Amino acid sequence: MTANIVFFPVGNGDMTLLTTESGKTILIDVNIREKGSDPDDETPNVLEMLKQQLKQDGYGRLYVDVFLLSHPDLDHCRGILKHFRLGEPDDCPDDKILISEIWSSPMVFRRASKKLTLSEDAKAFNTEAKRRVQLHKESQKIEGHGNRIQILGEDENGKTDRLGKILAKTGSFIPLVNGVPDSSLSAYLLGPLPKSETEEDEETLSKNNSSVIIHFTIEGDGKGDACSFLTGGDSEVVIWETLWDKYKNTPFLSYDILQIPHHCSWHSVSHDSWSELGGEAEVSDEARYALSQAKPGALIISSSNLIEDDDNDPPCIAAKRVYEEILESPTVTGRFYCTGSYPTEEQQDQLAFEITNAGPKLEDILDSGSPFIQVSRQPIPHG
Amino acid sequence: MDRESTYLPKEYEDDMTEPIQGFVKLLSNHSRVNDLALEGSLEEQSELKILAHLRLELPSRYMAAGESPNGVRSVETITFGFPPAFPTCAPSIELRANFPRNFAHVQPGATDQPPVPCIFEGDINELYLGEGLLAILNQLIKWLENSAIGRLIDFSQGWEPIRRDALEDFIVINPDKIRSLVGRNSKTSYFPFYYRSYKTNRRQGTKLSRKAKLLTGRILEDSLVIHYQNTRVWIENVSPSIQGRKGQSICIVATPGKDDSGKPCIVSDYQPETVVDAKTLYQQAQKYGCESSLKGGVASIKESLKKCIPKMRKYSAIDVPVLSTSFPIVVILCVRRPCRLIGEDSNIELIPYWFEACAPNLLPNGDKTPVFPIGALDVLQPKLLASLSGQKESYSNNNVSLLGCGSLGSKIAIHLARSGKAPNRVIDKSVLRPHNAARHGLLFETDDIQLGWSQYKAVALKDAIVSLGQTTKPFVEDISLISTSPTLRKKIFPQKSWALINATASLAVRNSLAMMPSETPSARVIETSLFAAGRFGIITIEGKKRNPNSLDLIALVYQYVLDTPGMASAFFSSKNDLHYRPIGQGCSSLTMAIPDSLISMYAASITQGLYSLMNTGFTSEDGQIRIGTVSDTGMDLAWSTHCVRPMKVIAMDNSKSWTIRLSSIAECKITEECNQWPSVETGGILIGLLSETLQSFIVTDILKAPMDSLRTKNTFSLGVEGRASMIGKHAASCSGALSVLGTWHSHLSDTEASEQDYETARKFAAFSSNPQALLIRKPSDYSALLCK
Repeated sequence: MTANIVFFPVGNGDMTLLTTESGKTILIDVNIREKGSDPDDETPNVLEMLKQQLKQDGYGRLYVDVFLLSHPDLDHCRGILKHFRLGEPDDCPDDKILISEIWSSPMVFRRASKKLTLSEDAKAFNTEAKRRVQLHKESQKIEGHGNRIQILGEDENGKTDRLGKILAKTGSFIPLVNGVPDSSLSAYLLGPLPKSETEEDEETLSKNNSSVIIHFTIEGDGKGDACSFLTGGDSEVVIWETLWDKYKNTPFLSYDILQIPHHCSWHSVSHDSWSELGGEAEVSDEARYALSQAKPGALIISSSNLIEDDDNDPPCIAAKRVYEEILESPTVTGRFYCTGSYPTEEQQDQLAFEITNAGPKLEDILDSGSPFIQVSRQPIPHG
Repeated sequence: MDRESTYLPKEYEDDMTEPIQGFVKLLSNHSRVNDLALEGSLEEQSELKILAHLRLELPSRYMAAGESPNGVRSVETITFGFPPAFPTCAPSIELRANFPRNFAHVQPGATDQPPVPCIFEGDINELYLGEGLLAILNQLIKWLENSAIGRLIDFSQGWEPIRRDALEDFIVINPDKIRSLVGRNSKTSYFPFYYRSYKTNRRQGTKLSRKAKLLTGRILEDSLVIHYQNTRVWIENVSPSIQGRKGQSICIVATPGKDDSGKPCIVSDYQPETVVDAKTLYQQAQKYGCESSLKGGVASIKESLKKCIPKMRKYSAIDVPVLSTSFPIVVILCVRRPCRLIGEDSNIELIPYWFEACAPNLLPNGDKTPVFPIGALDVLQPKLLASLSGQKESYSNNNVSLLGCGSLGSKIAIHLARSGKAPNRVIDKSVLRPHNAARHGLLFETDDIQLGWSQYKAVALKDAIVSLGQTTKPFVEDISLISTSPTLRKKIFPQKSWALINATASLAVRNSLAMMPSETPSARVIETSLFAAGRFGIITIEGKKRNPNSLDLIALVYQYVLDTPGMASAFFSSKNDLHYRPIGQGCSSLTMAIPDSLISMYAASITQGLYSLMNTGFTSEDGQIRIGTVSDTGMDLAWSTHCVRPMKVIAMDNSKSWTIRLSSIAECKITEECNQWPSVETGGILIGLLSETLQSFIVTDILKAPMDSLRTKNTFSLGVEGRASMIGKHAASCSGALSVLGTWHSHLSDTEASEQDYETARKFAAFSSNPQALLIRKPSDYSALLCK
C-alpha cells in the first residue's frame, strides 16, 4: 500500500498518523476535542477522520499498530480515556480504538509529575503503560496485540534496566514496530535526552524538554529512504542545541517533513521571550541549525492554530519566519503548511502527504474553489 | 495558501458565449489555476482557446526541481478548446507541444499536433455532461500528477496498452491467435481482412478526424499465403454501395525478433504514438523490433500485386481499372512488453494501423502514404460477452439443454447466449412460421424474411447463437418420445448435463420428462411456462433424482394457486385459455394472444433466475416452485418461491405399475386428522392430479370426510352428506385442474388392506371411469390399492 502521513487539524496540539508501506499505522499524539463531534461546531471531527484510516482486527475492532505519546500534555493526549481501549483488551468490538503497541517514555512522566498535576487522560495513559510493563516483567516476553509496549529512553537509577527487549535506548533505532521488524520504516530515537547529557539541572527539565523525538525514515514506492520525517513533541531550544551538538554530522536531523516543535513556539528556537523582547529576541544558532537540515523541496508543518502577525506564542509569527527562511534557501525551496489554515482557516481538513519515491506529495483536495459552483453528478444511464 | 481569482480581462468576455464564460469563471476560481490567457476569437471564425496554467502537486523533490524527471512541470499550461458545439460536447484538451509523449495515456497523434491526454476511461463527453467541467478539470490535474510520478500505469495491474479509445476505425481480431504467432524469431504472417468503409459525419472538434470515411473490418483467423488468386480479390471484390464500400483485403502481422545481444526484443518504454505515414510506421516498427518483418511483408505484397495485374488483364474479360483501384491494408505490430497486459494473460501488445493501398505500387505516395492507427476489438466470443454481462466466464453448472425454441425458449436462449452461456443443445421439432415473428427472440436478414421465418426453429436458433460467437447442437426431434427412447435421451440429456430447460409448454413433453428414468442423477428438469394470457408465469425445478418431478410440481402449482386467495379465478379462468388463432387460410395456431414484450418480461426474469442457479448449483435436494405474477398495469412482475419436499411414493398392493405420490402438505393433513381421531379409524378424500402416462396419483391435498362419516375402531365409512357438492365446488374452483383421486383411511395397527378395503376399492372402480386410489395410513407405513 501507499505510505502516507496525515496531520490532523487539532489547533495548538499534535495528532499525526503515519501509515507505512507495509500497512502499519503509527499514531503520534492525539488531541480529540469534544466539540469535534458536534456537527454544529466548526471544530473538525478528527476522530472520524482518524477512524476512516484505521484497520480492523479479527474481532472487528479498529486499531492502531502503535500509539506514541511524545509527552503527557493535554494537547497531546486529549481524548485517550474516552476514545481508546485501555486495560486488558476484550473481544467485543465497540467504538473505541485499540492500541496494539504503546510507545512511551517513563522519564517524561516522572519529570512531569514532579512539576505539575497530570490530566485524567495522561493518568489513564500512564496507568495503561504501567499495566503493559508489568505484564512484560511477569512474562519476560513480547506481549500480544493490545498488551504490547515499547519503552523509549532509559530512566534514572536503573529503573528501566530489566526491560530488555522492550527498551529502546536514546541514540538508537527502535528495533520493532508492533512486535515485528518493519523494513518499510526505521525510527531513530533522538530524545528524551538522558540526565547526564543536558547541561540543565534535572530539576529544570520540564516535560516539554523530555518529549520523545524521533527521526523516521519511511519507504515510499519501494524506495527505502523516500521520506525523512522529524518530529519532536514540544521540545524547546536547549534540546535542539544539544541535538545539534550531538548529531550535526549524522543524517538524523535531516528531513523531508519537519513537524515544528511545540506548535511553532518561539521557545524552540530562542532562549529569549518573544512577548517581552519582540524583534530584539534572538534566535539560537545551534537550535536553528538543528532544525535547518531540510532536503530539497522539504515541507515544514506547524500543527497549530492559524499563525498571525501578533504577540501570540505559540504559534509565533517570528518562529514561522525562521522556518520560512529555512525553506527559502535555494537548495531547499520547500513549503510551509499550518494545520490551522489548511485548506482554509474556516474549513480545516486533514493535511495528508503520500510518500512517493521522490519524497512526500500533498494529497490535495481538488475543489471548485467557489461556493457558487456546485459539484453535481448525474447518475449515468444505460441504454 | 492564499488563493486569488484570475479573471481574464473584461473585454475578452465579448468573444465568449455564456457557457464559455461559465468555464472561465470556474477556472478562475479553481485553487490550482494560476492564470489564464485567451487565444483566437469567435470573430476570426476560429475555435476559441483558453490557456490555463495549472499548478500541480508533485513530490517534494520534484517541486523543488520545478519538474519531474519524466518532464511534467510543477506548473503546466493546458489549452482548452471550445468547438462550436460546446456546451453539448466537452471542450478539447491539449497539452503544451513539447509535453512528453511517452506516457501510457496520451492519445495517438502526429508530432506536429499538440499531445492530447486520455484522462478518462470512456467518452469524455459523458464525463462532462454527467459531472460537469469541474470533473474534467480535476481529472486532468490528477492525470498530470500521476504522469509525473509514473502512476498512470500500475505495473502490478499489468502493462497499460497504447490508447486507441478516440479512434472510430476498428478491426475485430482474435488477439490470442495473433499473439500465438510471436516466437523466438521475427516473422511475417498474412490474414484475410474483410472490411467495410462508410461515409461518416465525424463529430466536430475532435482532432483525429482527418478522414471522411470510417473503416471497420474483421481479420480472419486462418493465415494465407500470398499469391495471384489471393491478391486479385483485393481489387476485384470491391463493391461500392451508397453507404460506402465493402471488400476483401489483407492484414500483415509483423512479430518482433531478437535485439542486438541476441535476446528476445522486449520494449519497456512507452513509445509515443507518432505514426502518420509509411516512413514513421517503419520507424515505429524498428523501435518494436518488427521492422524487418514489416518490410518483408510489404515487399511480398508489392511483388504479388505487380504480378497480379498483367495476369488479371490476360485472363479476365473485365477491364481492370487498376490505377484507380485502392483498398485498405491492415498492419499489426506485435510488441513484447516486460509484463503481462492489463486484463490479459499475455505480455504481447498488438498495435494495429491501416493505410489505403493502391495497385500496383501498394504505397501510392511512397514513404509519405498516410498511415492511421486503428482500434483492435476482441472478436465476439463468450469471454467478452460474459465480461460485459458481469457474469463469470464459465460456471461449473452450465451444461444445459433447451427444449422448445418458441417465443419463451428462444428469448431465454438468446439472453443466455448474450452472456456467453448459450445452451449446449437446442431442441424443437417444429418449423418457424410467419406468425411466430409476433413473439420471438430471433430476427432475420431483410433480404429473405419470409424464408427466414420458414426454418426449423432449432436450426434458426443455433444460427443466432453462432452469430453470438458460440456453438450449440440443434436437434429437430419430438421430445415427447424421450421417455421411451434411450437413444434420444442420450442425445439431448447426456451424462454431463446439468439441467434441461423445458420451455415447450407441452403437456406431452412434461409427462414424458416426468417418466424419464433418472440416468443422470445430478441433472434436473427446469420447466418454464406462462399461464392465463401471461398473467402468471412459473418456473419449476425438479428435486434430486427426479423427485419431485415436473408433473408433481405442476400439480403443486395448481394447489398453491388454489390456496392463494384471489389467484385461482384468474389462473384457471377458461377465457384465458389457449385459443386457435388463424395464421393463414385454413391454418390456425393454438396459442395465447399476448405481446412479445410480456414474454420478454418473463424470459428476462427467468434467465436472471437461471444465472443465479448456475452460480450456486442446486443447493437443496428439494424441488422448487416459483410463481411470477404480472400486476394489473402489466409493468411489474413479482415472484414467489416455494420449496417442495420430495413426494412420498407409495406402491399399490394390487398393481405393479401404479403408485401414489403423496405431497408433504397432504401427508401433514393426514397426520393431523389421525391425531384428532387416535382411537378410531378416520379418513377423507384424496385430491390431486391423475397421470395415466406416469400411472401415478399425485396427491396434493386432502378434503375432510363428510359429517355423516362413520368412525369406529375397526372401520371407517366415508359419509355422503354434502359430499357431491363439496367435490363439485372444488372442481369448479380449479376448473378441474385438480380432481378427486380416491379416498384414504387410517388403520390403528400395521395391518394390511382388509377384504373390506378391497371390496370398497371394487365399489369405487365401478362408480368411476377413471382409476381411483385407496390409501391406507398405518401407524408406521402406508399401503394402497388401485381401484380400476
